[in-house]
Amino acid sequence: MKWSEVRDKYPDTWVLFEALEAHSENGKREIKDISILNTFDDSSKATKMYREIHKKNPQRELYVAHTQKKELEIRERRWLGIRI
Amino acid sequence: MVGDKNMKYPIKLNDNLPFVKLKLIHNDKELILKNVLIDTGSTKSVFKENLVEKINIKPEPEDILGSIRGIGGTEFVYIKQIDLLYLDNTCVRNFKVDIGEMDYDFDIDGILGMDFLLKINAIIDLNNLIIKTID
Repeated sequence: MKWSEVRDKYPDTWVLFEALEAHSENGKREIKDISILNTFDDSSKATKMYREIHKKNPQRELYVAHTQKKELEIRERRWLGIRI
Repeated sequence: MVGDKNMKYPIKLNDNLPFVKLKLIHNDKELILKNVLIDTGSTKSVFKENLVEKINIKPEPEDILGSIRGIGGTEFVYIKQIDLLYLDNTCVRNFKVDIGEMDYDFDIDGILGMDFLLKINAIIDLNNLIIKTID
């Protein structure tokens, strides 16, 4: 699903979603295909579920966003890690 | 940036990594982050989500999102402008930081990256284990 379709289907709510298809462009993450995992009335509930899923599957590309956002702007950071 | 001239702030070493204590004030609520890593290898600063939640910082509909990608997978963050950040007496207003899960299996409350260190003109003195700032 594209973001515009997500907004039509789940208006004015928080969503936890997975990017099934995405690429990086000019320091931004462009999400082409979205799978909705759940909807929430409160963003803290969404981040709580994010943490539970992310802990088990850190490779899955998950986001919490509100569907009142017209454009899904995602800034990309690269992380090489702290060595301890 | 507001603060006295030539301030000195203590650095605490954990596993040879430099940590400082930081105070946040946002919407008139105060939070102390005890273990914030000084990281000249990081362009951006990031704070731990389940700590800043205590002063009611959480994702709002219009927040810009971020994705941290690299070793160990991918991590979702959102970007917040914090009203006031205090490194002891040195205060930075309206500073944008990433808020993320930071579940790295060691005791870390946040990372102060080069964005903050350049802003306060930090001099990191590892001989005396202090950070100095010069206005």
